[in-house]
Amino acid sequence: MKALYVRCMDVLHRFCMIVAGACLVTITLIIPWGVFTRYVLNSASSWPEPGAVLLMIWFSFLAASICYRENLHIGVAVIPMMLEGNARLAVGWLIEACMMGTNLFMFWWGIKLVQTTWQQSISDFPWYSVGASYLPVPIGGLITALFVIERLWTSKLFAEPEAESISGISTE
Amino acid sequence: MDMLILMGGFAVLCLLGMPVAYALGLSAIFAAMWIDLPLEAVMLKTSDGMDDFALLAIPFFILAGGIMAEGGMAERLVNLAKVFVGFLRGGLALVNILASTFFGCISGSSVADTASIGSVMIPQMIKNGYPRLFAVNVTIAGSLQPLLIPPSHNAVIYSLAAGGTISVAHLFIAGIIPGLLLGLSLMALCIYIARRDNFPKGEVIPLRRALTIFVEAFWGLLTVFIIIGGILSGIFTPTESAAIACIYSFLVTMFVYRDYKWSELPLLVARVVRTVGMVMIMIGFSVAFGYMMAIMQVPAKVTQFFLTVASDKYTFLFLVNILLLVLGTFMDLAPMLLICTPIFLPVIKTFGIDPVHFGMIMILNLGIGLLTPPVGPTLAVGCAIGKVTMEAVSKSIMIFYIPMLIVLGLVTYIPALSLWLPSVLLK
Repeated sequence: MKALYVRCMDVLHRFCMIVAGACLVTITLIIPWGVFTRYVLNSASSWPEPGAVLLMIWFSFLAASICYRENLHIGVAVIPMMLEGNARLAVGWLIEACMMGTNLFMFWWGIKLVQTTWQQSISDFPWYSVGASYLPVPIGGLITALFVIERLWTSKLFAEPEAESISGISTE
Repeated sequence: MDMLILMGGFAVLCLLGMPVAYALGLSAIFAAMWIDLPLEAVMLKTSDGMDDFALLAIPFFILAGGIMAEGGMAERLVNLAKVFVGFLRGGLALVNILASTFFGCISGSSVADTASIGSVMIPQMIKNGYPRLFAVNVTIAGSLQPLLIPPSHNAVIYSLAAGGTISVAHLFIAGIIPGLLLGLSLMALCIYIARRDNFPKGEVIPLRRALTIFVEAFWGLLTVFIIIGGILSGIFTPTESAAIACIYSFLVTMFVYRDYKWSELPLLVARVVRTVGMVMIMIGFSVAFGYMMAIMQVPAKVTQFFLTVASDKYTFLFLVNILLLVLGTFMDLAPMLLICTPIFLPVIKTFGIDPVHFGMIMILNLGIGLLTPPVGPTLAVGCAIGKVTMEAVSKSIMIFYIPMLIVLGLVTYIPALSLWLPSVLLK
């Protein structure tokens, strides 16, 4: 059962990466397209900017889930470094409980936000609901919550990121 | 008590080891519950924090820098630097610093600089008789420059943390002189050490070879001229210039340099997704956190505190520098910018400090924190590439902090170093 769950999470993780990667490539192409239509075609397209922002929100929440599963989020972790044995284990469970709480909060209140704004439409895309633009919040929260369950089930607390996940590309 | 729930909760969650981004979010949730704020507001602010066109510049600059760095640009920049300073005593150390200056023109990441320039320069320096620790120290110290030299995505983060009220173009131009000053001061230190320890001289590169090297590096360095030229001329916004830079970097790497395999492109995109994913969720939650800070009047209380302890702006800047240097040793640059900027912005306005000037102080100051233990990502990457322990580097790099702190002092107390160039170029 555990092995099946981990395999399902592998598939979900890969799916998130494909969607987030596709969003990144798409926004990288549509912004220059906007510049091209403005200067070369003399007929500026209005959709690239808001379209890119909508894709960016999807990208951000899915990428955050990926970073959680790969232990890539920036952390300080001074207290766990000073602890050993059961005390360290207890802190590990407490952190994951906090992560679960935060992500379930994102899921629940994100759905409420979607429901509240579902009937409104975005001015640049009248066919697209404002509520749909908030969908990445509950979906990102749910996916990360599923990854938290996997981490607790497999007891991979305080795991280090794998070498292939770390690269010279960095925000710092 | 309100402030304790928000700030204390965040500090405790961070120390326990919760990811900084989610610690910001959870402490904002606790604070919202404490003051009975509708909880949808926290989610709304988090999502709206990412709903900003200017924010797109961050993944674009990271992607453009990644394409260039992994596409064989580092070696070309090192060769170009050799033309200018390689023939001097201790030439390879100077080449290392100058190559990082050039690297700053294509990427704003200190870690990327250490990984790219370090993997080329550290083996070369060791092979030519330089001590291994010195080679690692020079690489790590030089990598501070890309944080200041445009295009710096940390300048974009600072601008966003300030609520988008500070022009990214001004911040980009403001970083040029502090970045170059830092490079020159590090070179001066390397020249002193090279003479003291009698490091070898390099060879003069013949003119014909120098021209070939220049042409090879030119296509890559053109990126910064496209970005800055586009912004200054008003043709592009910073975000558009970053997207154009991505396309340009891709075309140069794949069709001019041809050092990168098409099959590796999905891996590069995946690496950028991971990198940007870390910072974007942090920006989202930091907006919710900043919203709670504003409701709880944290910036106003901090302003009141500093007006009590500091009688003038010089004392205030000294105290802030000390505070940021200490905090920077424990936390990375991006989260510190996102948390501290909204707190300090009202204080600096009260003292009459230009926010562009203050941005340069913050980026340089917190950048030094990336090179210091215990939490120093650049330091860690440099140690891994140079195959040395962090303990050994932590001791031997001390001397390199001297020019960094001198430049920090100059940037802090001579605002013209940051503000003169934007006043000339951006009217």
